[in-house]
Amino acid sequence: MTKLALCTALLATSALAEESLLSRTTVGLETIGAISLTPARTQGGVGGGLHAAFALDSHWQVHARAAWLWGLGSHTLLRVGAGWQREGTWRPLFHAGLALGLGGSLDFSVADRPPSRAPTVGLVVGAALLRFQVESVIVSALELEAGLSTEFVSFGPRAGVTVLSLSVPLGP
Amino acid sequence: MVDGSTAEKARAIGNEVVGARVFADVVSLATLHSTDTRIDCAGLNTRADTWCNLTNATARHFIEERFRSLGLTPEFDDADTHPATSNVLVELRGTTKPDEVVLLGAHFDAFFMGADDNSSGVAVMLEVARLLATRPLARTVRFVGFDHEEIGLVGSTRHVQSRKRPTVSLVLDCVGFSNSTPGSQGSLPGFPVPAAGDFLAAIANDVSRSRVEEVLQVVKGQPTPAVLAIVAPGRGAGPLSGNLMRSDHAPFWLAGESAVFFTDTANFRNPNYHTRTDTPDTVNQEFLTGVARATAMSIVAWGDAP
Repeated sequence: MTKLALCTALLATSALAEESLLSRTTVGLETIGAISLTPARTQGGVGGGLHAAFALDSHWQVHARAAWLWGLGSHTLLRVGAGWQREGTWRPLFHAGLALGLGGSLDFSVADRPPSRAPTVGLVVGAALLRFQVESVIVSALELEAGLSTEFVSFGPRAGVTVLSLSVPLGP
Repeated sequence: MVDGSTAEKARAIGNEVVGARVFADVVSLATLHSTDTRIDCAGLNTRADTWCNLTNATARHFIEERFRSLGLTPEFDDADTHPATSNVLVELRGTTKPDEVVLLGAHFDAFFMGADDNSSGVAVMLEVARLLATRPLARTVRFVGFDHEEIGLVGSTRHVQSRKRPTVSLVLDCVGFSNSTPGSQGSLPGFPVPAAGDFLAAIANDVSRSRVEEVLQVVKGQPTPAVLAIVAPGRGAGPLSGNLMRSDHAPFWLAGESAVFFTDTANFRNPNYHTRTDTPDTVNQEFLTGVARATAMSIVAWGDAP
């Protein structure tokens, strides 16, 4: 009997934990435009992507984003980061993270160095001021992002705007 | 990557360029354009003040005669386009890899005197032909004067469609104008080019990226203008890189072939572009000579590499 009670308790705890993890994880879609401008590379475009975020508590979250952009060829933009969000219906988010650009770009030689073949790496900070939670759905418009890029030859600014983003929790 | 002995040979031949000869050819070609009969521009839906001042016939004849004087037999590929098109070309058969072709081309039609656009490119092509005429490379080298680039890359498009495709091509268009004054170089957003217009742009796409790397390698430390390599993504046909496709390399890019484009950037630097003032006195002989060296070095490096 004791064993049965213990097993039941463990299963219940596990289910609660799973439920909690799912409900703290949101996934969504976004449309974005981004550009990176260094002396050795111009990379950017407009497109769309997917994102996932995990709430560490009521304010802090970590997130991962993948987007596919067209303009100067096509390239994949991967971003990971962490951010702080306000509680409530109006949920502005402030975040920082890393960006990785893979694929098409306009490349330039700098001095005697040939055009870089390395991916574009960036540090970014961003703010989503027009971000709201309606029921369980989070809607965000005109998220702005800025930072620094390099392709391991030169450095320059990068910027981005997430025109519209929709997120929903994975669990109840 | 060009091996050391090929690079040395390329540099040695490149440094045999005679600048005065190249410049003299620019003067001759520009003079011929100024006295040539204009093409029939009736029916061309374009600006008459410019398009009715396009010439090609005597420049083609000049190239033909130069090829003959070098002991080469030129070919023509006449086509009944409107206006009629006829590229002129010769091939120097390769010694060990004759089936692999390295192409050097420049368009010979021009508005007004067309000193920079494109007598400069034709003159450089003829100088490289002179340097190589008596010493063939491992690969076949094809020299092509393209007709009617200005009307819409007509000659080069026909060439790509009708001839054996080259292993790699180098196209010259507007290679004689430079200005070292800061601010003299124009650009577009996303093109971080130097402020002074005294560099040679070597433009490639993803297919020809390794070729432009070889150009940079072989001209490094040589008496050539600074070379700015620009690599367009993919085939180069994206909406934001269209300005990189404004010459005879574009049909090669669109066909998926490897091609590099040498230019002084034309109207982004030269205020005489497509005007009556595109005259020989605006061409910088030292810059032109350096471009000829870089061109010869590139062709030898590509043509003679193991």
